[in-house]
Amino acid sequence: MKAYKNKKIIILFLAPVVIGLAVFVYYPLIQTIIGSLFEWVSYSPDRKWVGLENYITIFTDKDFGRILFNNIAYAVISVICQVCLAMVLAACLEEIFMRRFQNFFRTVLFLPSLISMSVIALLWKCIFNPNTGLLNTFLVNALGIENPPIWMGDATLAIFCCIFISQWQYVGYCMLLDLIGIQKIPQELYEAAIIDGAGSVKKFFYITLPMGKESMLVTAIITVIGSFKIFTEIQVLTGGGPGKASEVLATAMYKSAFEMDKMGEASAYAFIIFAITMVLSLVQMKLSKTGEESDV
Amino acid sequence: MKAKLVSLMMVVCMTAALLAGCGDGGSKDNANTPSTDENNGEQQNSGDNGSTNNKASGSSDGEKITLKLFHNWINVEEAPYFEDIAAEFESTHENVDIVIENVGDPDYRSKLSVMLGTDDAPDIFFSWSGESAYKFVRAGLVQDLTQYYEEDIAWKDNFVQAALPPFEYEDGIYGVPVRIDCKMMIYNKALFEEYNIEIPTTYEEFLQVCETFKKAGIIPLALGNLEPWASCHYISTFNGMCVPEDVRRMDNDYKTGTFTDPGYVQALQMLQDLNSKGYFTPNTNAMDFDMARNDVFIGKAAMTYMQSIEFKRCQENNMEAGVFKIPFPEGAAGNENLVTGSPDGFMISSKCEHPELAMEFLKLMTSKPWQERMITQLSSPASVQDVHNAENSNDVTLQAVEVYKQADGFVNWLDSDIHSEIADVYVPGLQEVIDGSKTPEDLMGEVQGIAARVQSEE
Repeated sequence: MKAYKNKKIIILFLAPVVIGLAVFVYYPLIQTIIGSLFEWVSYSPDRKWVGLENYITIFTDKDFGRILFNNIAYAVISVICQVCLAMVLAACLEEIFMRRFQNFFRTVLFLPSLISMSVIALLWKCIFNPNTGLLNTFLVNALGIENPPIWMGDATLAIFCCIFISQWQYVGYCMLLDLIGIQKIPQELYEAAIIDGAGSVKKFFYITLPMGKESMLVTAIITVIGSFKIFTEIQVLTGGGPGKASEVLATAMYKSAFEMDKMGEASAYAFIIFAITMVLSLVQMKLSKTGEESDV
Repeated sequence: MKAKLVSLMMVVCMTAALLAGCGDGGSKDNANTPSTDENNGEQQNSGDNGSTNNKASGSSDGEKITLKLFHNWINVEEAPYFEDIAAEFESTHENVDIVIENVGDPDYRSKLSVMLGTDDAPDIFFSWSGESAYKFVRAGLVQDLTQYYEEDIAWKDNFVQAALPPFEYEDGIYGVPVRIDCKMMIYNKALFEEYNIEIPTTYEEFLQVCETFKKAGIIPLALGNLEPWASCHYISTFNGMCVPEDVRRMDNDYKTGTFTDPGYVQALQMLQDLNSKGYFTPNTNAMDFDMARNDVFIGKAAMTYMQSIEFKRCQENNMEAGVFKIPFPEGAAGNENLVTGSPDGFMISSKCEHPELAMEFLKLMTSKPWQERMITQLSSPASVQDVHNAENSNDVTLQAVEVYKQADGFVNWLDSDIHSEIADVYVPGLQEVIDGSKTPEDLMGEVQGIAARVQSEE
């Protein structure tokens, strides 16, 4: 244990992480912020100072409201499904009568998060296909609906299709995180509650929920941040369409950077995404007073 | 002491691993669709990076010259074409080493832009024509090849002549076309025979053919427009038909573009009509391009608008196919004798220190034997004349070649022919015009607005 007192060793051990973070996280971050104040293209070293103009362009863009709405919808629905629903699912699996099947459900629900997004996109494109897809065939033939929605081709529904697919993919992952949190809760609490006559619902609200707060915070941060960074799902499913109906911040950033070669504007988008996720996670951490988990 | 040594070694290893992990050249644009991720980074001899800078002088006295070639053919059957041609070139030029790098679309575009801005720019690289190429010309990133064309008139005359203008900018010519990709209407011959249908010669007849198939319960035109570049190809054609050629050329140049010609609205109206009359695949905006197109192969659809580089799929799917050009609408203001499509080619970076060698390499690629392999191995129609024959090409390709050989020129793909900021409004807007949520007039109004903004900014 002498190593803990040796300052040189401590510095040596910290060095890779600190250097790594500095070079690959903080330096690019600062570069991005600086870059967002210029007008420049990727293939030329010339930069033109424009101040906050890139930000003004973004905020006054008529599609920006829609973009922000899509991201917020993503975040809200993700919190409902991946934080709340996942917790309920985890609590259900921990119920004594479900324990026998726990392994099975855990695997089944976790499986989607292991599949590559491009495979999932192909799969769901087939299901959502309005002419021959599974979903509409079912709606028409089994339920007799005459004009079923066209899902990803519909300007209102497209974003919700993408959101739904994300929930389908990640609810199992968050559930697993919650499950681990629940398993950490001492059994005596539940036993005492049962003796006092508490049912499953009461146990969930008075023991599981308060005690599983930490894991819920983790999933909440992951999902909210993830919702504002969301890219692949939209890019491979709808490409932001129809029109720009399902555009999100990250796809708009990608388009600015690599299709229109407006690197300044893309950097501004990147900084906006960073600022939003940063503020949200600070707020979440503040609200839940993380680190003050009461010892049991 | 031992513990200290072990910990020291660990630190070294961790640092090395960290650096090695980040050293992968392709990691910059990994914010991309995973489908293409597997294809990235098929680099060869990547250790040679930057070597062009080291051999600045005295290259002729036996010192190795490295030429970096960057292209976007990643398919296992196609990529070896470049390895083979590089090997042949190296065998005749002993001191030349060609380093090949390839990345698939759509990463290619973004990676190329980034690479061209660095000292590590490729010497020879694949490029689309039109505005995609012009922006590099304006930035001074590519070499003017005019003198090479002038020195070797026979070589210049050997090209399909319509393939050269899309690489010309102001007074120079900046690229070497190596293949031609054009868009033609492919039809299922069996269905045409079954319904006793002749190839339409007027636009009215074309609509009539669509109507006949629609009544018979067959999709007239297979189109999956989930990604709007699919309908963008239609609008490229319709713009070519409806807008006078000189006006279109002015509009494509962002410095003079206004997009006020009524032909643009007319073209959008034609596109909207095809959908509202029920001629496209139902719910076309929600349909994946490939899935929708495959309906033609199985006889569920009669026709599809197809790029010539895709023609081989008809054979692969055992469909007997025919081909025709969408007939010209009577009285339209555009040029009737244009073909939708563009030549693709290679450009030479302005940082290339041995352009004459790079040029020799491109001349090899446009020589007959390698153009023949371009046809067979890359299934791309040749950019030089008299290479196609019944042995190396299928029927539909031969017919397409016949059409573009006689054409006055190409109508380039709209999305690569106009400024990217204008395309960002125009192309997604096509989906909204198709589903009727936006009128052609409204979309063109927006396009005019963005065109004016681009003009004032640049």
